[in-house]
Amino acid sequence: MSGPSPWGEKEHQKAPTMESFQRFYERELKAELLALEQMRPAKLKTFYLISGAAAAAGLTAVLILLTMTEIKPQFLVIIGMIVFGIGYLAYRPLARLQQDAKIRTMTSLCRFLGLNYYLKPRGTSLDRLGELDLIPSYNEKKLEDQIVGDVRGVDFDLFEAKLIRKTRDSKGRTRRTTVFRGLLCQFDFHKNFHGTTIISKDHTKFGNFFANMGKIGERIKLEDPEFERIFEVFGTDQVESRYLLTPVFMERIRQLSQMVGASNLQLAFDRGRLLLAIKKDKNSFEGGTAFTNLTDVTRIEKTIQELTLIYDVVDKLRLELATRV
Amino acid sequence: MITLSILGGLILIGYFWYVSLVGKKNNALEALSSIDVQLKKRHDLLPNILKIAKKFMDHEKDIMTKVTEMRALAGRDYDRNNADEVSGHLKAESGLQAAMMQFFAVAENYPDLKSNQNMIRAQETFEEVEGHIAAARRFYNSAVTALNNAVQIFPGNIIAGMAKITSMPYFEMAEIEKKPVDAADYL
Repeated sequence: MSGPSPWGEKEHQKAPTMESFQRFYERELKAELLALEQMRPAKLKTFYLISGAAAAAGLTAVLILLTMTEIKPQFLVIIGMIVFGIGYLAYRPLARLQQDAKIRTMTSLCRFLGLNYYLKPRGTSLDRLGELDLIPSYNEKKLEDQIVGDVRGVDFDLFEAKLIRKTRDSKGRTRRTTVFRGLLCQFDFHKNFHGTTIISKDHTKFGNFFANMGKIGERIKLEDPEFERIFEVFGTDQVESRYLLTPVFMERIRQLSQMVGASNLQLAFDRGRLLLAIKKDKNSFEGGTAFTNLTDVTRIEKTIQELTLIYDVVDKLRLELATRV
Repeated sequence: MITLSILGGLILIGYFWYVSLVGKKNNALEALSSIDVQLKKRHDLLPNILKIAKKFMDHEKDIMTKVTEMRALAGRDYDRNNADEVSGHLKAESGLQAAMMQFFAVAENYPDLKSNQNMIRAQETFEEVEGHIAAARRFYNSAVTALNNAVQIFPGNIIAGMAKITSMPYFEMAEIEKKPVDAADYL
């Protein structure tokens, strides 16, 4: 884990290191994970047995089919689906175990940091994020892992989202495409403002022409050429957008974008808050799969690394500064 | 026929160029209005700050008088379509800001004033207002750059000359901030 450690600064002012978390882990989390881990070998064995038997049966059925003079391909598909279905059902107890481990880990970690964790986000709406074009249009959403609290005095609300768009091809088949996977968060921003400023990724001149259609407000052309190369800014008030996006703050956004990937970050100042959409390749806060030891410290470390992003946003953007320059 | 087509094309290009120039001029004037809106906040705030400071800085009449004079100078009416008058107005505002900086620097020597809650709040508000002015200045300078480029580069300069659209001055601050301010320079 790089950068300043966020650990312990809420409850353990004297020891802002991983050591305090190690003690916390030993004291509170390890016993719970150990209890879950004890159940894992039996469930894993059941899964291997059932899915192995299903695969063997499926393979035998396929071989028998192949000996027949007339092979109907739909039978092969049906056999495949049955094997997959049995495998999925056999995996469900393992998945539940992994989710239990995740909930306990996340709840403990967040409690340690003075934050609140909810597996199913509450009080969240993506409507405004859609209106601001921070997320693409979608047909289905899957929201999870909400973390709420304050970091260095800055209130925030973060959750993970997976957005799926359904399209139909020429043959009428439905195609599901993941159009966004990542974190959606809002941070308190103490500069007073009334309008909206959207900082979206640059799609180059040609792409911007189409991407910027229907955007709220007018184009704000800023002085920082490097910032302009990475982002396109739109706002309802030319002066207010510049009041929010000072040269220093633009530099901080650039640093944050370097950390998360320039094309993965979009922001907006709206209704007194700073909203962020951070695209990620993988599901966050999972720790690991059910096929690895649930008490393995590297699982916890992975989750810690992902949680560090919240601190990185506050630190990189210096949201804790009273002047909010 | 061909000559007429070329002539028509040229007139059309010239017209659109003219429209673009007028648009840029209007943008710059709009940005200038934005600055004036923000500067008015500064002007409204100053009497309060001076009133609070007066109780503590009785021996610093010079700097307080200077701020008052600069405020009066910066508050004068001006013709927004006259580049020289706009330049004078912006210079006076720069002078006022520099005078305010000097005033706050002197106020640092008065611990009672520094710790006065009203003064703390007034200074915070002043910083907030200055943030808005800085933003308005960036918007204005950006609009002026677009206008001046269009007015000064061929063939824009010919069309601008015919339409009597002129360059506008930048709102500069840095130069004036570096040196002490004398209201007499602007009178």
